[in-house]
Amino acid sequence: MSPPGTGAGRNLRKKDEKAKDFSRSARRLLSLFKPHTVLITLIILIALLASAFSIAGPRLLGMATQVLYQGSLDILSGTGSFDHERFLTLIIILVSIYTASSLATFASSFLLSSITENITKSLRSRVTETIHTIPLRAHDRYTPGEIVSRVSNDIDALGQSLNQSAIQIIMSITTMIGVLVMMLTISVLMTFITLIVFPLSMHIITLIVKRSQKYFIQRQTTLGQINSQVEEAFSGHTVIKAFNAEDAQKTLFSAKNRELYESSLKSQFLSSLMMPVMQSISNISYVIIALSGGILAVQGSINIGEIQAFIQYMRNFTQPLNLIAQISSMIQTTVAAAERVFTFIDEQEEEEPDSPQLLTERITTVEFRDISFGYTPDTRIIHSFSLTVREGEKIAIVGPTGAGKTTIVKLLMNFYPVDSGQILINGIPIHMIAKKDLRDRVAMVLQDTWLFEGTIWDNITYGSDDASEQDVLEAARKAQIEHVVHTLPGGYDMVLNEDSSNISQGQRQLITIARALLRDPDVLILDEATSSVDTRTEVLIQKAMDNVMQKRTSFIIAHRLSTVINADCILVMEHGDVVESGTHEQLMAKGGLYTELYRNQFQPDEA
Amino acid sequence: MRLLFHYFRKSWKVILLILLLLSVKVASDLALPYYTSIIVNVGIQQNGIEEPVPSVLQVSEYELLVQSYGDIISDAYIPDEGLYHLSGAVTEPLTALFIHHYTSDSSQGSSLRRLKAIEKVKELYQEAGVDLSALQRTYILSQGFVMILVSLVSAGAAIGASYLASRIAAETGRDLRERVFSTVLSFHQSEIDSFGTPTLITRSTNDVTQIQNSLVMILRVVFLAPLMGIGGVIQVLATGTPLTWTIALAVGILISTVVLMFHLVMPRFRRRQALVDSINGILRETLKGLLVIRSFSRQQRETRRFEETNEEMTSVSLFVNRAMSAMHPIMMLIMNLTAILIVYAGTPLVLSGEMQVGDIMAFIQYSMMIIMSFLMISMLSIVLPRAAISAQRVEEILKATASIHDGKTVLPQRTGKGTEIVFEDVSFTFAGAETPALEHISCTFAPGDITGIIGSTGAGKSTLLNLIPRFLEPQEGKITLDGVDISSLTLKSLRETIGFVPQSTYLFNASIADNISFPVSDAPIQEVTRSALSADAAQFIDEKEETYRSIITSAGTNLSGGQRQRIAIARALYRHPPLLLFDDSFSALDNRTERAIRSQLASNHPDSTMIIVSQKVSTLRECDNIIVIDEGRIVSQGTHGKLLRECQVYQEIAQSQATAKEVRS
Repeated sequence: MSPPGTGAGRNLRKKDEKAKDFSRSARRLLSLFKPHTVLITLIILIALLASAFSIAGPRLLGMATQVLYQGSLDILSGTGSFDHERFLTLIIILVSIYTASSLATFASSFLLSSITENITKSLRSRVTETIHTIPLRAHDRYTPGEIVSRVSNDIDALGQSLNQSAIQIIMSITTMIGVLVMMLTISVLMTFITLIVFPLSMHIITLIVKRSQKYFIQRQTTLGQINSQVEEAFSGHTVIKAFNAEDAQKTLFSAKNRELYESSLKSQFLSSLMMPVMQSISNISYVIIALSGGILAVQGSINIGEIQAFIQYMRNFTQPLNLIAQISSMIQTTVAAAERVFTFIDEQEEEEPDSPQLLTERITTVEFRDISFGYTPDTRIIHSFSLTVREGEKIAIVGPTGAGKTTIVKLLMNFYPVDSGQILINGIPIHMIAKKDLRDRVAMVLQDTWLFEGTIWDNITYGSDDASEQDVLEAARKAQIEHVVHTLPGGYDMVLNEDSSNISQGQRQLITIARALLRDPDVLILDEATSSVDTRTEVLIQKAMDNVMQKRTSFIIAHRLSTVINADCILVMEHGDVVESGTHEQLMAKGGLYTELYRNQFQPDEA
Repeated sequence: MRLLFHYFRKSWKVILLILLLLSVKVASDLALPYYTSIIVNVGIQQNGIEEPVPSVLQVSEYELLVQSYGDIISDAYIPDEGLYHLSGAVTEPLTALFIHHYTSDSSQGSSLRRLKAIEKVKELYQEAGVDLSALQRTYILSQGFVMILVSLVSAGAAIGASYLASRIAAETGRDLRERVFSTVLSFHQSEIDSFGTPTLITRSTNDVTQIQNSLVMILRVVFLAPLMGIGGVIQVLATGTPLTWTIALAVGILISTVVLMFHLVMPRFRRRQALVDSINGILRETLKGLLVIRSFSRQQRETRRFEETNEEMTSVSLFVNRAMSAMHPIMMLIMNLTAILIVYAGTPLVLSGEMQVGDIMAFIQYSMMIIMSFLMISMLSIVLPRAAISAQRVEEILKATASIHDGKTVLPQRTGKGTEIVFEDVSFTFAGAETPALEHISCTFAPGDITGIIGSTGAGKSTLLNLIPRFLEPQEGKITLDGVDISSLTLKSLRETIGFVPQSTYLFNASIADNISFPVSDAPIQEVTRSALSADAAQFIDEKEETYRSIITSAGTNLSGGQRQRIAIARALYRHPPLLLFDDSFSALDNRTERAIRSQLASNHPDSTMIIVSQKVSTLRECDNIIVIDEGRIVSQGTHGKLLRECQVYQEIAQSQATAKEVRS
């Protein structure tokens, strides 16, 4: 299969596990902590305290055992007695130190989690805000799945790893430094011997982490591919059945599934190598330390308790090492996730006029003055479109698919700015009008209905919170949904499900029409809004609407010419240009494209 | 959970091997503290002198000993180069003899007397000029060598066990995914609807991964923890120290903490997952309704709605995170305090000579092992319920049986002629619906005929069409294909005869060519082009940069609705089926295109039987027969002309689509 070159979004969808600009994104990630500097300082101090305590622990326990050992020897040789008091003091200090260490650890992660949750929460909010504020042109670069994934996968991963790793990084580093100092105080020589093992273990750790990371990424990628394969197969279930494609699908699936098996086995296995390998290394160091410790003990430069403590420290030293290695790979993916979020929230906001002109009166004129437009710079959809519409007029736009009908609507709603020319409302250029002001007066009903999970009533009153019950019922009646609602379980209180698949497409369209009518707009746009409604119902809706819209402007886009026949002006579009315009009669008289379209649809039964 | 046990049973040999390897690992792990302890006790403290029996004696000392103890000494030592060397192994009577000889005070504990005797031996060695540090070195090196060997065995066994565990888990995951996938593919629309597509997707991916991940943990921990615990207990009991209560105490506290945590955190965990779902839901909804939200200026309202969930999400996660962050320090505290308690409680025992410091150290290590094993088991109690939920969700799919059974008859090779479809008194009711969607439908679709079906929204047109490929199964009546009851046919052979264009176009994320020849990929291009021509799609495909090799994006953004519909039509035509079903398949096409396709169909597929569902009279007017359906019943059928004269419903439909003048003419 050829590489996917179509659609700008495709190239962006490629998931980059590695951050493109690591240090920049990492710095940006760190800057999120900036508002919490005071708290962070406090947390670091507490964490330092916690690690200091936990470092002191083994040393003190070593001292206690040394006292015990010395006591037993002295008793044995009869040269002295067990220093009970000193031993007890040490035990009490130990208990308090360990308790304090645990408390401090808890306190620091407790405080930190509120910061990280705060950060992830505000990131989530930022993404949602961005969704609502960036221009649609920017949205065209992302698929909905990608944006959702940025919130559910990336921010979630970010939060989790920040929670886990931030405190661990602090603790690990402080512990390592502290342990090193303690080891040096016991024996410089033995510390150096330990440090010989250090690069070895570091090397092994990075080797394992690198490999397992590679397979882990591979696993996640394959998992993603399997996900989309399953999604596709289940969504296209009917097609697969109709074409007997079950076996072909299974073969495709099996191939990917085998890949997933390989990579998940390898990543799982490699990551499980870490523990036993590190344990073995730690045991080898143990023997080396015991050996050198024994020699030093014979020379009398070290005592048994100190050796015990040193061994403890050595084990403490390799532990954070281990952690840091694991965390470093986690940081890689965390920063990559953060970068993906940053890229999205950095999208330029939609421009609003600096000093918007208010629409003080009802919309009386809409003028398109020689506009041209393309979604991408190199493909022009609208070439030079001009049209003036006055109050009370009903304008129909017809033409083959891809002619640019819906684009005109999107430009009028100011979803996209025009490339050249101007759209004027009551003589005011559209870009000078606040978007909210404009959209409050212009209602739009699209072919693809959008209803949210909620009752039918809530869906109709969407955007008109203060509508009276009377108004709602009136709008429903005009949209011919009234009697339909009564046949549905629960009537207006019926809860529509996620895809509102519990009602038919025709019923969905009727609800959205009622919603638009309830807003009592100056301009109403119906873009194939009745395409799934049977033609008899459509006639009833039109009649009701003709009454409502007497003093208002309406735009109707439709394939079905029966929908548009009684419009004041019919624009016939082809390839982004208006090729004909006029009333039905005028156009029929012309014998052009419209006549052809019309003939195709209503060819008389000459036989 | 039974599902998991099924897989366990299947691979019992490997599991046995894992058990064996883990036992080896536990055995070596249990041996390790012994070596660490003797390396310190004997190696460092006693300079590598294991027994209070000197292996070398100076002449004066030898004579002194022979004088006191006689034969037992002279038998054991032989003279060599002016010194007496121990010739055989150290025996029990010899040890007793030397301890008695060097430590006269019998009131002291045996362990202390032994130590004292060893101290004496050390002195003797120094007098005899034995290289003590060399002795120590040899001892530590030899014991250290054994220790490293043991730890390597432990590591090897652990690695082997994790490899096998990872393999079982990966295999189980692979097989489960495969099974779930093919089970869902065998489902019929009713099963898909009763589950819902999103949950089917999650279950066959996310839930299986969940199971796979926890399986590794279960396989390792479930076996390892008890083995470790039991081994630790055996070792502790073997030491015979009266300190076992400390471990019992620690384990008790540990278990209560975990149980408390479990009850505190689990409900919030569940809530958190639900909130993740709803955040996704809100975002999906928002992104789908972007245009509507903007046109109604509801951005701020939508943001607020999201914030409510975001707020709750934050507070629940905060709770869970904080509770979980308490876990680690608490566990560390329990372990550290237990170690201190053991040292403290062991003090009198050391002082009385019943135990050595090294023994205490070993005891601490063993008790840590026991505590760790309980810790693992209790952690498992948090992992297991989550895995069990996933397993249950997957099992539900695997247990669901397809509601439509496959027939046995295979249709003979078709001869290119159109098939005949006959409905005999067919009624169909959707599950849960009160009124039937179709009632007593009897009609014939003659071979080679083009039949139209028309009716208002919800009249049952699509339902009727979906009965033919058995996407739906009628409760009453039967449908025959060339005289054979379709329910006795194999689904494969039935569907092979049908070219189906569904109402909502679904295309795959693949090249245009592969979509047309679906499910065959890399089909001969001439074949693909021919179908595209018949569906009037060739022109726009050729205009594309990569023509037939252009990839159709999953969102379908690079094709218009009409283009997508034409590819779906080309796909149905590709196999030259004797029966073509169009379910409102021309709705996104302008009339010119529609007419072009229809004339192509007439000339390229003259023998195929065609059934066209539509709302447009113009689409159907040339059909050989038009069936008018209203509220699930056939109200009339006939040609356009006949229906215009005789059928009121048809007249109303036609009238609503054109001015009265045109209809009449």
